[in-house]
Amino acid sequence: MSDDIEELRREIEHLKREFENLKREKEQGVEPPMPEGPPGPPPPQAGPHPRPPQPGPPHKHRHVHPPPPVIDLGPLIDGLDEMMEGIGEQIRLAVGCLDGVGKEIRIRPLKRMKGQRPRSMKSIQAIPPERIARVVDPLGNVDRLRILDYLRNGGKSFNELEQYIGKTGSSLTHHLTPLLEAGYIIKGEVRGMYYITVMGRLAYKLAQWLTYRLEKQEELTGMPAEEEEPEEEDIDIEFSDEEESE
Amino acid sequence: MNIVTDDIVRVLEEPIRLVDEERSLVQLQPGCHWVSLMQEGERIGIAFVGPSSFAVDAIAETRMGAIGQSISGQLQGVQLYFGDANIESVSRVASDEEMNQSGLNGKSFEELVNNGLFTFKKWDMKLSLNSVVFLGIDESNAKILLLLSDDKIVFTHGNHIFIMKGQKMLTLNDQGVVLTGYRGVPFYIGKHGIQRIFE
Repeated sequence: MSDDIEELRREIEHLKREFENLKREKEQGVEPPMPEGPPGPPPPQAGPHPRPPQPGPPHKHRHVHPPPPVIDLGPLIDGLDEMMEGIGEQIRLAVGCLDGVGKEIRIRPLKRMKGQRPRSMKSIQAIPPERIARVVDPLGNVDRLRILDYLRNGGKSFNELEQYIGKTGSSLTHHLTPLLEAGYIIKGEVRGMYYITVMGRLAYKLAQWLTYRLEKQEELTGMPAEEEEPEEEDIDIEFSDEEESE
Repeated sequence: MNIVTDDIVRVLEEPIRLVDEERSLVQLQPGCHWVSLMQEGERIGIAFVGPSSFAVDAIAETRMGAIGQSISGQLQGVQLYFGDANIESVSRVASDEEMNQSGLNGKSFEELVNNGLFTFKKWDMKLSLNSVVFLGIDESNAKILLLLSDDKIVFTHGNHIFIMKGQKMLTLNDQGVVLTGYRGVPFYIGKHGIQRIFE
């Protein structure tokens, strides 16, 4: 035990001397030697007598700087985008199950950043009623829709259409003409066959989709979308980055 | 062996459909003048001039809808048809007066055929069974080529080309090219590159 205490005393004395040396060097303006070169093993501890310089050819000191760090924020931003797209639904689910919080929370879908918004969106929203009517009008009759639906199974003759639709002659022509003019069907001159075109198929599918969406809306809210009145107790959360000036 | 025209000119007395297929039609009306086209002593077709019309449904039904158009019109000038043609029974030998009233304008069929659209001097027409070739020109001066063979159809009209075999189809016009391959899925090749036609 006494041996250990003695050893500690010697160590403390040694450290005191080292401290005094360093203090003196600092007062004299001598900077302590700094390690040079690439990172490697730690330099030997400075002793009371510095080691003399080693003879031999001068060393070429190469200063190799590590490459600057490259941080790709792309995936992070993408991840945030994905996260933010679903955040409205998450909030609705999280808050909706809490007692005492509003009866219903309606959250409008998050809109994309201005720079990310599809360029076509504005042009779609700018379509005037006249253009919509030109596209939608030929579909605005149950017999015309039945014709398109029937032709989706393949080309049909006038007689086959007469039998299927239950209208003959000019009554059927009255419905075929708008579809022909809109380019939703074409007529083969050789056999008088009628075919649904690519546009016609697309128009019919979009009409189906529109019907589904509106019926779904009605089913969810119990009333058509246009007649829906927000209740006073409703909490309306809106995520929008649209500029006020727009 | 060269193709030659027969000396006897006949005139049609009843309307007849020279080509009467699912997607193509060539119809001749009464008053049409025609001669046989001969090769090695056998008739391989006819040349005709007079009131006549054609229609081709250059339409392909694809999974995304029908693509193409129906092209039809009146024929004008001398037309050539290679294939079976049983029209003697509804024709008679044309009189001199009828010859003057025909569209031949005092020229012989041989002269019109060889100096017109086509030159037979190096032709060697060998058609397989059930094959038909029609070479013509319509009132808008558009050249017509129609080749029918089994389930194949090749049709050109002016700058429009339509080729179809079964579900495979290629159509080319001023707007671009539409290809329909396996399973009837069409692709459009236009100025913006290759695009799939979506439903």
